[in-house]
Amino acid sequence: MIGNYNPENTNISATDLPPVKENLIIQVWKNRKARLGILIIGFFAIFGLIGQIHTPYPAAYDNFPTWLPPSFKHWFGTDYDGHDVFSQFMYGTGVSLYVGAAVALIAVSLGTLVGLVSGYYGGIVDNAFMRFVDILLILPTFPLLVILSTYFKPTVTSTIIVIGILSWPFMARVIRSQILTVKQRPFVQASILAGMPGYQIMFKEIFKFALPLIIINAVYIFVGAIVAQAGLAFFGLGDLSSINWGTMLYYAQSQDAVIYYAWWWIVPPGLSIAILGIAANFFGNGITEVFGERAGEV
Amino acid sequence: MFTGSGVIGLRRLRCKKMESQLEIKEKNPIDGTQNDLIRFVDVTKIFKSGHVRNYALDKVNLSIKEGESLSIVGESGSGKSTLGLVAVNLLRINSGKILFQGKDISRLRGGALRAFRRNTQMVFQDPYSSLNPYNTIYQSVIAPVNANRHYYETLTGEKADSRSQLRDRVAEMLDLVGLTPGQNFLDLYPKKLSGGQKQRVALARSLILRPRLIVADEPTSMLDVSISAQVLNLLTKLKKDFKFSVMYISHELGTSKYISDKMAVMNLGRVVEYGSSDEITAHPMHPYTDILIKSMLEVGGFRTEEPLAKIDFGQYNGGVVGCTFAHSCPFVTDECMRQRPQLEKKDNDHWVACFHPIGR
Amino acid sequence: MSDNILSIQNLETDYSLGSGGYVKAIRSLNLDVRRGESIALVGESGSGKSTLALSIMRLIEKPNKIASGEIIFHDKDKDISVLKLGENGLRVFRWKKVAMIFQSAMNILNPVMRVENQFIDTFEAHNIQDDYSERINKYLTIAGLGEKVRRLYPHELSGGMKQRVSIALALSCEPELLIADEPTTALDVVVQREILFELKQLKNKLNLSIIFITHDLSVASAVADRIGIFYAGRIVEIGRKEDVINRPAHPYAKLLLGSIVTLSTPRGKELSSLEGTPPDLSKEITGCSFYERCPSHVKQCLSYDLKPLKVGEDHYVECLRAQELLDSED
Repeated sequence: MIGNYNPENTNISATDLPPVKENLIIQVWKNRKARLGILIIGFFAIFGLIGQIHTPYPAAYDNFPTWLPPSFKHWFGTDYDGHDVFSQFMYGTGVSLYVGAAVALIAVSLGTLVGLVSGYYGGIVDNAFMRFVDILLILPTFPLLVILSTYFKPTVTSTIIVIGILSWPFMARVIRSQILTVKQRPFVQASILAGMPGYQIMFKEIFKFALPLIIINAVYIFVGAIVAQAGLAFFGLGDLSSINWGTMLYYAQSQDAVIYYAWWWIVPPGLSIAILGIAANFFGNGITEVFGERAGEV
Repeated sequence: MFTGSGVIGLRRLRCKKMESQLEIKEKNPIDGTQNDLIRFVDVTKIFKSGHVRNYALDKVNLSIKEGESLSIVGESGSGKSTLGLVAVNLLRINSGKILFQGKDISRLRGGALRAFRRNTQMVFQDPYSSLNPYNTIYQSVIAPVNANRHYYETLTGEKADSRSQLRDRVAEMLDLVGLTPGQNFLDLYPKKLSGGQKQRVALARSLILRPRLIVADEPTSMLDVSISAQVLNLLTKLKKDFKFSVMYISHELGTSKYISDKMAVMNLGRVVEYGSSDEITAHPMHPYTDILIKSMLEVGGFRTEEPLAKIDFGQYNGGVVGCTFAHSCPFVTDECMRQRPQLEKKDNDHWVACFHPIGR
Repeated sequence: MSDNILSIQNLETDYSLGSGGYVKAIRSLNLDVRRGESIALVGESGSGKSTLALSIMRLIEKPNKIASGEIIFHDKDKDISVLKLGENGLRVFRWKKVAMIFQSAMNILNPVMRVENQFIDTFEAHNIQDDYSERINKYLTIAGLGEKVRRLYPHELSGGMKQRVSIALALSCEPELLIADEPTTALDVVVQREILFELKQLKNKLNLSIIFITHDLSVASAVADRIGIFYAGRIVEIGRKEDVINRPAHPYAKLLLGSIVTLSTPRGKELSSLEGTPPDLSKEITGCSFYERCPSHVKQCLSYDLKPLKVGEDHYVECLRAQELLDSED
């Protein structure tokens, strides 16, 4: 019945393409949304970085005429006290983004570690961590931020710590959920059968699944922290001697910039926060797509 | 594709002699003998959910010899998959012993447990989640070697530290399972492979350390019939070349008999019939086995036109008093409801757990 | 009244791949289902068999579409063009003329409704006049279930019971044609046999025509009068059950039969298996779609116009060499 069928003649074809390891970074760059997000965030980052080193005028210098609208001499005009708004904005971008990045770093590291360990080992360890996380999550964020801020001496660093403490629990939860679903899959059992020790399985096999979540959430926490810090500063709870988006908005509000129609003082920091948020979204969507393509049915 | 019997680079596995311990001789209805590879002694596994205790395995006694294949046949809830998981020590049993070459492995932990893992491996039902989608085929197959470097070197008899050497070894393995040329598959990601190809990779991974026992848990149930046939052919060939023992878990009697010469029929956590596959399928003694066989569909139609007893196991969790089949057995007696029948030898190579076996 | 209950002509169904590409899941398919017969359509995954069921029931949703062709349901006194039915027509057509049983009962049972309410829901949609309660009991009994199932929720039922409820639901509006899409694949061996056995008896008792879709030739041979073999979106062989099983004409059918393991397959016998993969349905296929994997292919197969050739009484195949190969086997 098999006829003249000869198994030896047939080649099980792998694919028509030569086997090439696809580079993650190139793939991310090729994705339009991710690229747009990266470009926008990158622009702000470079802008802010340069601002730490050099601005058109010293950001703290306040002897310019006050309330000047934008001109060739002062691109973003001047504020109530005679500062050059553009210089302030440029310098402040660096500070704001630094806060965002620092918080993101803390929250991601702590959150991922706790989420990984909790999810993989389960049992008492998981219970303990998660109850602690639950407590932190139940407390209302902003009031808590306010209260904590009054206890710490308001500096940029203390703000970072405070916001960081409140950002990591969410991360831990998200990562833990992902780990729990992945843990059940046969290939994890296969790794156990291969003789890999637990921590190795955690970091080498399962961690990769958390990567897209980590990246996306890192960017969201980054932007969220910038907004939180700006919010705190706006309410006067930050370090008012620091120059950043939040303090700019604080002074703008307290000095009645609206009444003076000084839009050039309000718009740059405010609009930037919004644009950064949008960029984060684009980036997040793009990354999700890329990771989805890479792994097929992950 | 099938490279015939001239297998490249294959060495007969010499299993490291385990530290001697007192051989545990138990009173065991299945004759324990010297060349038992793995022996289950009164193995019990209970799953608790709320206050419901599910006896997935209820005092199971079975053994597999070196180089032998045993099919575990049962429907869902019979405990067959659980038996596979405890055989490879992915699940801890609640009571009983599992003897591997005479040594109790059911209480192993830590480093000793990891070392033991070289001896048993498992092939899973779902090819789509058996391979980590983020790892290349090479990475998936080499993982056991990386975790057991020293052992692997003793196996192959040469130092395996260069990456290209290891890649060659994996490519050889892939050739052996029919993915030729092996080199082309090394850097692919699983999503580029079909279901059948993924199962082949899973087989390659499980055999790279030359384990003594392979547990195959419904390896073909998610594959199309024609692809299943490929995998079955492959398994038969590999069994012959590598000489490992097989525990083949399935709900299909046909393929179970085809793969193994020994068969065990399970029902709600208990073995109800055991012996030679040919014997059991030709002359089943347990009423449940009889119904299972009669329910099989042959090419051509139903095996029998008689209405068969309706069975519904949905409501039972095992651990019942009396026989697990009492609720549906056409020959049930009082004794069946009160006492649990034990597995007894009724014929040459044919054991059954029943107070009134068919034909006796 | 026509001999056929359903006629499908040149049906083409496409699945969208996004960004404009299409996969032609069903390619110019022709099929006549006879009144009172049970026909099994056998194919492997991706062959298009489930798509056919969905097409008949008009369950193909955007962006997928039925690209062209005709599906005619021959009702007692008139012909209904299924593809042209509007909302109201469809509501009558579905369940009263043609009903469907799905592979997973979860696809048809509402998890938050009690069993009896699912019936009532259906009856109300179809303007059933008789006493609801009596009807529910009648069809539950026909499907092999007791009355106490009525007040239960789907999650309280076992797999077999859920499937029986689906069968009862499907039959409750007294359709003339039943489409069963892999109804027993997810069930245990014993339950599967029970349900298939009972379906076969039901067919005779209720005067139904059944289209049975499965990947399992054994299942097909148990329940069907005729068998059609599906490959790459077309029916490549169709004939009476005995003829297809005992004297398969298409090379694919032969390989499929050879790869089945039964209790009489000797241990160690090499099973016939298929190399390669099914053709890519998003691309044009000229000639026979089985060419690549066929052990008996010849050059002419690539320019074959796929006209079905007769190889026996009521036995047709889409293969140039079928007759020749059959003759050489005899």
